[in-house]
Amino acid sequence: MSGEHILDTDGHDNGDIGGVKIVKEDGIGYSITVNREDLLTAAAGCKEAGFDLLIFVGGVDMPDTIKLVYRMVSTKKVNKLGMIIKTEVPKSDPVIDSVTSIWSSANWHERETYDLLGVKFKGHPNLTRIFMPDDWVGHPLRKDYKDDRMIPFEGFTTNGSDKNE
Amino acid sequence: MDLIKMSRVKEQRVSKKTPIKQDLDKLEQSLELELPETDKEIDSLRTEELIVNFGPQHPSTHGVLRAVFTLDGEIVRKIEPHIGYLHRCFEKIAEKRTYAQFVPFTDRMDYISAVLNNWAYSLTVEKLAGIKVPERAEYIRVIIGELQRIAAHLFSLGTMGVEAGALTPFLYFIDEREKILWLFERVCGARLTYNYINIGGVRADVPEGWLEDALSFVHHLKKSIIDYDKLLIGNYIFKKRMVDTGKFSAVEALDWGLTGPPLRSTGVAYDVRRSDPYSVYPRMDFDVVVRYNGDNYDRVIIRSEEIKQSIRIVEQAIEQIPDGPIMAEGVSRELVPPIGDAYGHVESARGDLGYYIISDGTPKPYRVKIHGPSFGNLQALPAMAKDSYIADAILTIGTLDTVFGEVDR
Repeated sequence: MSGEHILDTDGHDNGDIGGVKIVKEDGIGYSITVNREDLLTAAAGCKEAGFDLLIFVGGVDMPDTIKLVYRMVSTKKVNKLGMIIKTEVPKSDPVIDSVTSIWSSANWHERETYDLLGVKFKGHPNLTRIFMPDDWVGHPLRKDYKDDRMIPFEGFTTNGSDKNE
Repeated sequence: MDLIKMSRVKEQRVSKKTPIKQDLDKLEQSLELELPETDKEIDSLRTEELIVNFGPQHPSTHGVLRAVFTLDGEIVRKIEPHIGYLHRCFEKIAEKRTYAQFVPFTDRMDYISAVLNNWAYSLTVEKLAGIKVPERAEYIRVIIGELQRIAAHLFSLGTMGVEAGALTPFLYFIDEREKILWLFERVCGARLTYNYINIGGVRADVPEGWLEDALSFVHHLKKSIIDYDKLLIGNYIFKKRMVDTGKFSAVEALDWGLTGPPLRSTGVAYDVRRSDPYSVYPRMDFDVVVRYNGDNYDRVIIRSEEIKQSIRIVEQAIEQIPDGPIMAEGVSRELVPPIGDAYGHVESARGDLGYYIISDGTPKPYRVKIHGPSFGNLQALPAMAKDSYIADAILTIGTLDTVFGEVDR
């Protein structure tokens, strides 16, 4: 694990965590992209490198896959560096390892991602819905989500008038 | 203080062998209970565990928290929070609105410190679209943002007192907060949901004479906060209730993902204003307040100390504020950021408030992921309040200072 020295450099070539290259992106800072099989290894490597505070876990519904984003912060160093792990799961089989064994705080964030996007986290202690009622059908943040009570809404146009009228 | 003195005088009087004392001794002897001696006898006195539903409508739930308490006598063995009563799925709503149209929705997240939500969202969109905010707007953002932090902390200090049974300080804190709301009303016309910080700058310049009034307010607060400290934090009974309850170590706090004042009360100096500086904070001289005990009392003190630091920042910002435009040039309402993603975060009154936005090159965001610090902080409640008295668990809910608009989003 050579993730330690990224905390002191500011270039584009910033070492690696578990053999995965760390890149610096404009909008989000340092990030690594891993395959879903390698997530646990990468997360454990990050924790070992000093990223001890998991801020959030988020999901994005992409056309064919669901993209997962893990944001963490290192509180060990003075500059409190942040880092994002990105990974993807296919929509046909949205299963990934849970990181609750590494950071307990992943618990609710993973439940939220399961509730709203339908990603199943393997090894989660209590993977139930968190915002929606337990008997809810479907996952609201999916782009193709529909239910009977939904009002068709195309959004407002930029000049302020409602397209639906 | 007088009460304590009086009770001491009373004790001295009674300790002499007065007729009253003799009567009391007799009464004590006649009432003497037979205490159990062996473990077996103690076990026979145990009652079964009781499951109590707490909330969602209760003054000490700070909104709509419903929790299931498993009680062993007076001691809380397990807490299961059930959230989602205020869930409006703003993240879905954002996908149907343009970037500028989503700003008022961010107000409804953490409604006690709405401006800081505007700020976090605008900051992220500016990062995504590469907009540079004019200097004057950045200073106005800092002044308004810090006044908002003071207002939010005053409110939470007041409610923390109420939690412990101190109703009077609440009125003083709310009175001071009211003065900040008047200042805000003069700037943007609203008292709770401001929609003031917009993408590219702020919506309107501050009116004439406002900066002087804001300065005289913080000077006034600087003096009066010392009195309020004595009234609430220095209070003997309040201290007795708060010290060493709901204790959390730094290792536990990091594991459970606390941010903001609850994390800093355990000795971890993580403040976004310092660790990932945004706006003009690098030019400001202030301290990140850290306490080391991690109990309810430290979580109260840290907010009072942060008010004092915010006052310092407001004073410096008002001194340094330059003239100039308040909105970046060329920011249209039909903002179309280039394809890509951005993450922006600010230090809100409750912790690390972050937005992760993905643009697909259309006027509407493809995805807006919101991380509210209250969500992360509330998650630690079951671990924090385990094996404490039920009355102390209520205090722990209070000092975590969660806002349910932000937990449920």
